[in-house]
Amino acid sequence: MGNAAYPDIAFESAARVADRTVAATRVASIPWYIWCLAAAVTFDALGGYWDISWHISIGRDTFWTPAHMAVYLAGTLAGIASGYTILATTYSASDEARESSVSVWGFRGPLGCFIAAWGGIAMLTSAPFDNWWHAAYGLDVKIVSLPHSILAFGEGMITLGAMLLVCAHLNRASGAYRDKLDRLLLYIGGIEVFGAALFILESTPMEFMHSSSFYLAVAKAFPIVLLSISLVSSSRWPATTMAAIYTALFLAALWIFPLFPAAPKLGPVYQNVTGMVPLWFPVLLIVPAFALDLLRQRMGARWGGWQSAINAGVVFMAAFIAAQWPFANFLLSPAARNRIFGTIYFGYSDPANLLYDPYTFARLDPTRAALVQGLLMAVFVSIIFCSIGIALGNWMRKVQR
Amino acid sequence: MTARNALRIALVVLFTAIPLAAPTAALAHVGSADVFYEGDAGPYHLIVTVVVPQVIPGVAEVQVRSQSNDVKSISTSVTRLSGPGSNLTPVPDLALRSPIDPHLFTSSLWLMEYGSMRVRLAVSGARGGAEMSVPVPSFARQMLPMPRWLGALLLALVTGLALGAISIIGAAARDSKLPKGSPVTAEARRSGRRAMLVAAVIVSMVYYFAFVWWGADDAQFARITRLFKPPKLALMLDGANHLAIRAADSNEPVIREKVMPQLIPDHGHLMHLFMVRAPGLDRMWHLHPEAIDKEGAFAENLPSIEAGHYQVFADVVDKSGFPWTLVGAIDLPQISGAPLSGDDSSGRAEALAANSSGPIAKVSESGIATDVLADGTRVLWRHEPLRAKIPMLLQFIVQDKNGEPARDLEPYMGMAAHAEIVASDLSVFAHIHPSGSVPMAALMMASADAAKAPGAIGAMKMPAGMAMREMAPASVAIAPNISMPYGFPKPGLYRIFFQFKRGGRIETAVFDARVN
Repeated sequence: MGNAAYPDIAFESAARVADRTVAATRVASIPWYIWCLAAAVTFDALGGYWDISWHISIGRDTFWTPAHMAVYLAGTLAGIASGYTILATTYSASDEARESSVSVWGFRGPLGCFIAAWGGIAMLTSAPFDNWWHAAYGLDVKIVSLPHSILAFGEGMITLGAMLLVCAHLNRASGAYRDKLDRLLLYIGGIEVFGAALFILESTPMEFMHSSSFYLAVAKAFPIVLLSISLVSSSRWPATTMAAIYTALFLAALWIFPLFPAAPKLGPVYQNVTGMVPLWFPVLLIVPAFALDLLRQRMGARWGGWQSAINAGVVFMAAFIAAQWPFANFLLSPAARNRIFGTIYFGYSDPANLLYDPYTFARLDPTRAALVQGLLMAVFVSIIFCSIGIALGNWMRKVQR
Repeated sequence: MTARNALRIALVVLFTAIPLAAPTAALAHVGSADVFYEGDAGPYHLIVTVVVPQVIPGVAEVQVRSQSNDVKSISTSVTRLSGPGSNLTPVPDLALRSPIDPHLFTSSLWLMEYGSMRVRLAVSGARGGAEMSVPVPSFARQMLPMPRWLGALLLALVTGLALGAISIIGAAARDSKLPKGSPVTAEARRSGRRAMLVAAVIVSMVYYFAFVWWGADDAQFARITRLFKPPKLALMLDGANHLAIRAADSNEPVIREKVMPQLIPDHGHLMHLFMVRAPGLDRMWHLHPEAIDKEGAFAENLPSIEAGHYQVFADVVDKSGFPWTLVGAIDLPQISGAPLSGDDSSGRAEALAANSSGPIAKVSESGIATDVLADGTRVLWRHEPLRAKIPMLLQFIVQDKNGEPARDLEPYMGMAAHAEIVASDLSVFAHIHPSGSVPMAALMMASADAAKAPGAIGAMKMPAGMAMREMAPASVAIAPNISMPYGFPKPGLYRIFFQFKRGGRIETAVFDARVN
């Protein structure tokens, strides 16, 4: 299997590349297992959103909720597609596939498949651990627990596997086929941004938007994927595109989810929930993403070096604070309390308006000095994560297998 | 603990008496967490058992036994007992009717939060619809250990994941950048080995961090369960018979600052103090100390009490309706005090030989046990063989000295009778009534809120055996057959102090029970 589904694209000679490109533009299509992984990434992210909404609208439910099924389908799809590809490559009679594979424990296959399969096993590992965790501690009230983190890490590895698979093909491709792969890479990146936004959900409610912890969470969550893919993609606006995908999906969910009726099955109930409760308005990631793209264009050939990390880290966080800080004032104002901006929705177990005022900023930084210090820390962390993103991107653009 | 949850919990702690997480919550009774209740939902007489989960959130098992044949269906839901979260109800869970016993309905309910909850039962039957509310204290009790097989499985999986991660990173460094078909160079191999070494270090660090994180969560939960152990009492005898009572300083501050200053009366008293001489449980005092300040300090002028080591249990109910039992011990000299008065009472019996393995006099395993009191009053306890963790009715019959049913029973603190159940090793203490193990104060809150709820029917009906003292007690006739729903939490030897009022005198009969 492997690359046999489309014609070989060589690297050694420009002439051969040109020949092959002609062939590629005629018949090349993205291999089925890449589509499977892209679908897995999509199911996983949308299932994750749906599951969180389910938990805050209806509550803990059976194992067999559609949201759970979407997540498990994602793991299964990624595991089967990757596993099959590895086995098929390992035992293929053709050298074609094996020549563009890596070797792990005697098995051969594309690197992305190994990473995605690893992610699938990590997801599987988290399941019995998470089950025991809830039985032992009952601490189901938080997203960021150890078993959930293993699950999320597994999900992240499936996404990384999908991205690397695309990168390996993209780095060997040219012309229309490369453009197609580039668009798929940006799509997967956008979904990863969406997933990262879900993982930091608990640290990013609107009342935290004037606290440093909010910006620290954003600094950790987004720069890696935005920067790494920006280095691989030949799009002029890769970061903006990925941020736009996240923004569009979050907005669509914000506007569509409440149209579906729902009622809490668990008590105590603090809010009169009658429809699926959506998650909140997307953060204005599109602004720093746009700034990153501009920076990249301005830096030209210097983009990808160590200076890029410092510039990108500072620009990302400065642009984000400049956009989100004043926007937060609007979100907490009565003008945002509508279906468009969605600050009217609360989970059934949230005692908002009963025990606390959700339209007031939580002062998580005790002093102004602590706030400034925290924001400077967010800039520093942003630089660190931008460096990681750039290092990852520099490697991803060289991945061939 | 995420910031959002921390904020939410802090807010709830601020506005309610019962903290929802790290701070604390208490144990209603001692070693006897399940809730037993007997009462009426409109025309239907029901006996309800709520087996509370070990951890919160966790699933509570609700068993409802109908005393009549005309109940068609029962559905259950959870709300808070009072305040925010008490008015809106989730989609009710339809209880399953037992195929063997049509009177028995069972339902599983998630308890999602700590604190004072209420299980609402909606009953439908031939005589129409009705509702009933049962207060349920929701708290974590103990951590569950990890089964060995699961530990082994997880160890194998995480070891495999670690080795897999190191190998994949090695392959990434060695092979991934090579053009298609190129052989692996020596440099690539070196690069792969270096990457595996670095990966091994990083994976070790990640695993170390994961275990530190796990340890921190484990410690946090251990702290919560530890805090759910009964709070400690500080007891001091000053003067000849003046006993000073307060929550010990070693308790969480929330006990002294939030709970004790905001108690509500239960059966007309802020505190019910039970002193049991140990070992042997041969003397029991049921007293009602008075609050002496607004910080939760109490005092009692003790009656004449024989010297000995006394285990002390103090039952209180906080303003959210959550019952707490504070526990302490004190060595008392011979006390000369005033005669018992008001609702204070005492019981006495031969010492219970806790360690005896052979048959013990008065220990009842089945059938009918009888205690004859000083004035000739006979109290009979009729029961089936006693088994742990089985909800049952403890059925008592009070007879006069001629063996005729006593017709002159009066309410004792608003109830037909009280019973204190103490395990011989003092690991269990429960204070129950004909309505069960729930405090009257919480029941009244549940009933009041239920009555306010739209569509509530019959919610204000008096719980079983309840006769409020405010309602002309002398005129309330108490039947001589008195039953109390209860389930012994574990096998062992128990002593039951059964207290009632007859002819103006408070009497205490004593029974012993071996529970298998």
